[in-house]
Amino acid sequence: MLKKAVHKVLSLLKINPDIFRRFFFRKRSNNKNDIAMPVVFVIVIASSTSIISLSTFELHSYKQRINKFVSNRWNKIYDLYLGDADKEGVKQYLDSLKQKGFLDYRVGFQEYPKMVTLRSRTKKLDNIQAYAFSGKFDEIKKSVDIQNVEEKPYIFLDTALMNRLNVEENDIIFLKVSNIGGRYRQALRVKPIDKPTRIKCFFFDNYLGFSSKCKLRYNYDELEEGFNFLFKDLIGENRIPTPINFGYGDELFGTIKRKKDPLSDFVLPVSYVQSKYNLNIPDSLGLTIKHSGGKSERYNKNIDLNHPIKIDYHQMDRMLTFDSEYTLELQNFKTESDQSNFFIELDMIDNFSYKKIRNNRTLLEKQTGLLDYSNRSDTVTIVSHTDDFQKNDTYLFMNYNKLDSVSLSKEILAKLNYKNVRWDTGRWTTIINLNESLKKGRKNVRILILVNLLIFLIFLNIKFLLRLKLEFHTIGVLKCFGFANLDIYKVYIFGYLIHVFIGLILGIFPFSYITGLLAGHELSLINYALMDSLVHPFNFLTGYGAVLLVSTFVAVAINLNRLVKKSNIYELIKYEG
Amino acid sequence: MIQIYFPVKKSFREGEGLVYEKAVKQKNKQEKDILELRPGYIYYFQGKNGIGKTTLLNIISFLTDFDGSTYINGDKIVIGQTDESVKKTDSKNEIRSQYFSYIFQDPHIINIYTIKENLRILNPNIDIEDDLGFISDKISELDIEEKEKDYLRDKLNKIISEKDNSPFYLSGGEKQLLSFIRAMIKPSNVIFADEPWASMDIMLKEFIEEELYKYLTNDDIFKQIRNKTKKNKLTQKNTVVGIAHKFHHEKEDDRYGNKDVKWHHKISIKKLNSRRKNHHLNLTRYATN
Repeated sequence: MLKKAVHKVLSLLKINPDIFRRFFFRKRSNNKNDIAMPVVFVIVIASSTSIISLSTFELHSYKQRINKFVSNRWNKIYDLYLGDADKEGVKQYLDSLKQKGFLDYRVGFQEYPKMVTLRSRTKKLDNIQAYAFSGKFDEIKKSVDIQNVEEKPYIFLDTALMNRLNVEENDIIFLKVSNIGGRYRQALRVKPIDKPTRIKCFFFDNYLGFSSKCKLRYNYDELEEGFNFLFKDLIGENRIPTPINFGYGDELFGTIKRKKDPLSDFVLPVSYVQSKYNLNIPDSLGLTIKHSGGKSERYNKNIDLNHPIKIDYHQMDRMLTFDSEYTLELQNFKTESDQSNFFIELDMIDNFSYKKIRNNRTLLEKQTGLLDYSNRSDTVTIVSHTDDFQKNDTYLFMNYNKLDSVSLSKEILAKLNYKNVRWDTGRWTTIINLNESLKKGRKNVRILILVNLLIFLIFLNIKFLLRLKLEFHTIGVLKCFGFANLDIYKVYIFGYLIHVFIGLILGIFPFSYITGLLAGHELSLINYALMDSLVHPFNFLTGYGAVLLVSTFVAVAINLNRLVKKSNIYELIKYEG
Repeated sequence: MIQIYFPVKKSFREGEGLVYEKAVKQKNKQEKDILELRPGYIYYFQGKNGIGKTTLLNIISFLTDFDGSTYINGDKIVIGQTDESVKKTDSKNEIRSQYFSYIFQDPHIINIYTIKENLRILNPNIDIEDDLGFISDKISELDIEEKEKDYLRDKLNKIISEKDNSPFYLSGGEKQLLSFIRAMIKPSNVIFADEPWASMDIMLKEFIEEELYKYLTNDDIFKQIRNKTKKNKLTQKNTVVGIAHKFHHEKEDDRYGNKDVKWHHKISIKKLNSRRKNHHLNLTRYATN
């Protein structure tokens, strides 16, 4: 099949197949084909190609690192602390760059960053630096890639931190300011920071402000499960302090409070529930009263909503009260039409003040116990009310979008070299260095290609001088018997081009892979770089290939011309041996 | 004065020999002085070593380039290039390709090719086994002794059996035989033979002489193979131009003498810049009838 195809091509090019074959594989005196010459030639080209490939891998490595750096929007964001520097001078300079569209900057918040303590169900981390951003800083919002982030109580955590806290996305964690003991002030839902940034923990509101509030809502699809949670878990076992709110959807329709003993009596406003939601409460409400000793009593009472159930009834109109020693199970206690979930809501600060639970350890145990409950409910909602920020122009957040401009980056680095101006110059310098390395690398590859080409041409000429001595006789005999110069040109030029082409192909695979892997490049980078070379017509590798092919063509033509056009054919023939 | 004019493509038509028509008319009115290498004749140069027989043959056969009429300027010979088109290498290549064939003093077989390829590059349609087998059969019809026939067949069979090997290990005589076969199977109208029987034994020598003689009228046993290619139409008569120091028949019989040696002339050649005296070169023409 291949042989036929080759013969077809040769026939189209009007090349004698015997002469062409023997150009590649000269017959040796021992009747074996001499494959050493073409193999060595091809290996030289493949090796030289792999050297160019290796250089392009380096370039791609730089490019990849730059792309990775630039594609991470966080690398464009820098927190800039101006300290006691010439603020106006710095700002004037930043303003001039802002006008040109090179960067943007916003005033930061005085009280941030803060050191916070994070708490998951199983782990606790102290002294984590947390930033709060304004949701109006679009560049930062884009970095997070979540809409309306400031309205949602998210905490963005570095994946390393998430691992250390043993949490996953959407888990709830508690946090408080590190140097303040006692209760946790906030519950926030975890979102991973999917791109590497120096900022490991941040959120979009002042959740740790002085008067910020946070409530946890445990949502239940099934009312009975909700009440089981309420009375068995919250009140019965763990004796979570009151008030505990509950309701449907967004409507709060009840609050359970302690009456005398903080952990004894609860109030359930059944009539309110009934009137507001047109509850489908059956005539008979089944109540099972469980004694603390485990004994149960079952009551079936006709319900009169004005005086519904008389168990430890207090004279509060339309209220039911129960002794804390009992738990309550309600049946069929849901509206016909309302599809909203039943929720139970706890206040993170009011319920867990040190005044109510004087033992600090007990306080934390009870509060963090709430994290366990999040698994038992269908969903958990966090309702927050936060303080306003106090802004301060000593802290700036800067978005810089000209990372590709080495000169500008260097200029900014020099201009902001004020006393007590602090920012992440390490990252800044990284991108400058990467860009400079890329530039230098490109220059080096060009030089390498030229040097390689020069060596190749010298090699090709030496090969020619040696080989053509061997070919004098053959060419002479062919010319003697009337083979035209063009016939000989075609064989030699086409043959050498095929050598070079095969060398280039082998240079890409496997030579480039071998050298790339030996040089420590990852396979994915090698694949990417080589695919990029094949897809994009203008690059160093294909450029080198083209230069090799053209120079081979020219070198072969020039050298051959000296020989083929030789007027004395008899002289050529006499070269035998 | 004798002038040798080189053949050019357009004038090389059957019956006109190797003489350029136009030049004959314009440059030389005495046609009898022109050395015409006519179809149907064998021409042999004879002379002492080093006087330029091979050079002259190479010039005539376009193997050595010759610039105009001043390169070799003997007392009695002016070798002139009569047509500008001849100077063009392509035209010469074409003439060599279409009309000429060569047998050298040395075989000049290409050792990096197989025996088969050495023949096939000149006649792509050749089937070594069939065609040389056919030649082997034809040998039976030759008017030679049986032991000579066997000998020739052995040599041919060896070439056939070694067809896929390099000719490197063939003996000198066998290589020369291969060189002869190569020249004979190539479509041609003129064979230039520079002592083709060098390093050959007497039996092969006789065979070659005989076949070259038959080649003049396309009666040789290689005709059929030569005819396989459509490259060139065979003419009725061919020419052989060669160099021979001594013919074996001059000793043993008078084969050619009986075939009407029509023309015998001495040509003097003086090499350019040579301080030596003129040397004489015998030109013998054997006719086919």
